[in-house]
Amino acid sequence: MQKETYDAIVIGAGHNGMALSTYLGKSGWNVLVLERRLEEGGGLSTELYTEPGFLHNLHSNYHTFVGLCPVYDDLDLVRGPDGVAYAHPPVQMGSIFADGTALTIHTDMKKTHESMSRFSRKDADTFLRLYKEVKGFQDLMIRTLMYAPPIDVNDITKALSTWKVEDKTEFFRAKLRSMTINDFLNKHFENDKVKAMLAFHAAVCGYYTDVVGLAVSFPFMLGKIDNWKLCIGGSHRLAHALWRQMRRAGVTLLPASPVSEILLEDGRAAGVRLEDGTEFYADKLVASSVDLEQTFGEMLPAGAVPKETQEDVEGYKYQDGSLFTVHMALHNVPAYKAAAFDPDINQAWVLNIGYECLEDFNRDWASIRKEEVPEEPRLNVAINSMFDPTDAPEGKASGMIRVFAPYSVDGKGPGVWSSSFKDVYTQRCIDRLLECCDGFTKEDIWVARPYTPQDISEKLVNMVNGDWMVGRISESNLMLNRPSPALSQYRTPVKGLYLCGSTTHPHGFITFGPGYNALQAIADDFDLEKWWVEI
Amino acid sequence: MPAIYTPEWYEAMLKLANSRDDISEKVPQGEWRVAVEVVGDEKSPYVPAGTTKHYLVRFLDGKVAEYQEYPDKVPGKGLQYRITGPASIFDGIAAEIVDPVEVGLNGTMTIRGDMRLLMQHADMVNVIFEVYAQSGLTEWPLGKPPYD
Repeated sequence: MQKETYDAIVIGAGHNGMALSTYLGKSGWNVLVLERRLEEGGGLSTELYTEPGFLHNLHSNYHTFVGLCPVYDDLDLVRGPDGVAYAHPPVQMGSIFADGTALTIHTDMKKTHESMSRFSRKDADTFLRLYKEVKGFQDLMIRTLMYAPPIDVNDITKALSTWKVEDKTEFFRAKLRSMTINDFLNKHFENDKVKAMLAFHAAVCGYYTDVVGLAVSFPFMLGKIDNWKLCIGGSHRLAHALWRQMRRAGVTLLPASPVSEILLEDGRAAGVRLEDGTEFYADKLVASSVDLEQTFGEMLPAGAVPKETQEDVEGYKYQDGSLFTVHMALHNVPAYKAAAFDPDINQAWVLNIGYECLEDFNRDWASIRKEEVPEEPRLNVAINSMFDPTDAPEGKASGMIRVFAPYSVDGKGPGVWSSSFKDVYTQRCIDRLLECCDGFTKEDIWVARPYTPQDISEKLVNMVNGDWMVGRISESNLMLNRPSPALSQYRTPVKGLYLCGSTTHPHGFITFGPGYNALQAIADDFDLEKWWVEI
Repeated sequence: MPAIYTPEWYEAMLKLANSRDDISEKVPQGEWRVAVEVVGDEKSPYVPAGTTKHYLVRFLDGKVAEYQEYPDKVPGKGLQYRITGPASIFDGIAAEIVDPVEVGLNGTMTIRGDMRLLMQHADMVNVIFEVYAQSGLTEWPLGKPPYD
């Protein structure tokens, strides 16, 4: 029987694998993508999870890199007949506080400044200076720090020193590398509620506020605090757009095709074997977008990589916590008592309910690290149908409550989440939401269905321990350290085997960074013309 | 030095840069092609508003091999960097009254290309701008920044 051979085989049809394969297809390569699940998209997952007609994004909900990430333009993902549409809510996020006040972040920074000024004029001014400072070089730095294979942070620090950047900016300091986000906020801001709002923004981005070293990323995050977008028709529509571009590029996608083994010939990754025994071969390379343990521990034969690589894989760290979500089909859109203070809170997309100060975050991170579910849930609420009417039947609404939560509970493993506890915790979350609502009662919630940390990793095995960032966000696991210095350039010790998933720099979230950066390494190794690089 | 933006001025700049061993030492080996776009604004008398001066600067093994003025935008293919900014900013750098890093940071001057290499050769960037900033040697027939 003739061997079915491609130029490249990509393992995993998440957004990174799909993007990489499309670039390679458009470069003239014959590419095969193999996906374990029945559909493509990975974290771009939208389902009728509560009731027919109600769309729910089970994983990725907030797309904050549209307009910043080159992949959207390169692959026509947001333009043309195959592109997706995004909603850009004018009131991007908000915080509802226990004393009935509310703070809102707008796409219009003047309004943000006004809202923040009600708590602290000094903080509002500081925020605006910081935002403007970052905006000046955001594009440059995001392209350098996210959409390029990583360099040593020491090189960056040295350059900033050589160019005397500290003398020319107010907020950028080399010492941010040894500071937490809490430290940064305490240094520059005075009001607890302002700090809580900004810390919430970082936390929802996957950055724990008490981890040393993350202050260096915080200003960049803040520069895109007004770029939170919602994919119309559900996040999975973006996967559809990718799939259409894959087809145009001649890429073959096989769903329901779990890879069991990466085949080696003379030490080179030469193909893959599926669980059903089918084999496919690759003349040039195999790229894995799945996690390290699957790639090196399960798919490669023992001894295929040096001991040091195996140690890197075994020592790879995941985030301390995960997310517990309550997806809701609603009869009405919630309104909030805090609207008496700031009416715009009723129009906010991403809502913080419960984080009043930095200490609240610290308490939750501490609980999660002890595998304890925070007793009083602090919520991240998003009613998507307010901005995308296709998410719910006419006259109804769909939304979700999210809470930071441990994967394993009380040392008993993730199985606790499949017990009646998830229903108890669902009710606690709903009760917490209802406390803040004005005229919105439990009768307005038609269906509430939890989606637990255990569900996350069962649906997407890549997200080990329910870690949607697919690896710890800490200085020891970012840039050149992600997933380890030896693997940070997307190449592996196995010739022809590349990494292109979220275990690599920059991290999870819909950044497309891992796939895009793996492409740069592959293009260099195979002397591909970089048609996508526009200087 | 001749008048700013004249062919003679760029020729003089080229010779000056190539006379500096510290540039030769700091610019990476191989060929580097940089497009420079000086965009006319209302402030600079040297580049009319609504027009842009396009230049290609080619480095070869640590030396400036050529500069060339283009009638239109320099094609992106084969370029390593594209530097774009208002004429008054470029004038100001040449006149040593504008800090190139500061205008890069605040977005007034944009740089496209792989910043990683520039970071890894941060000294080179300083020296190149140091050469560009030759206020005392440049003639300003239409007035010197800040033009009054």
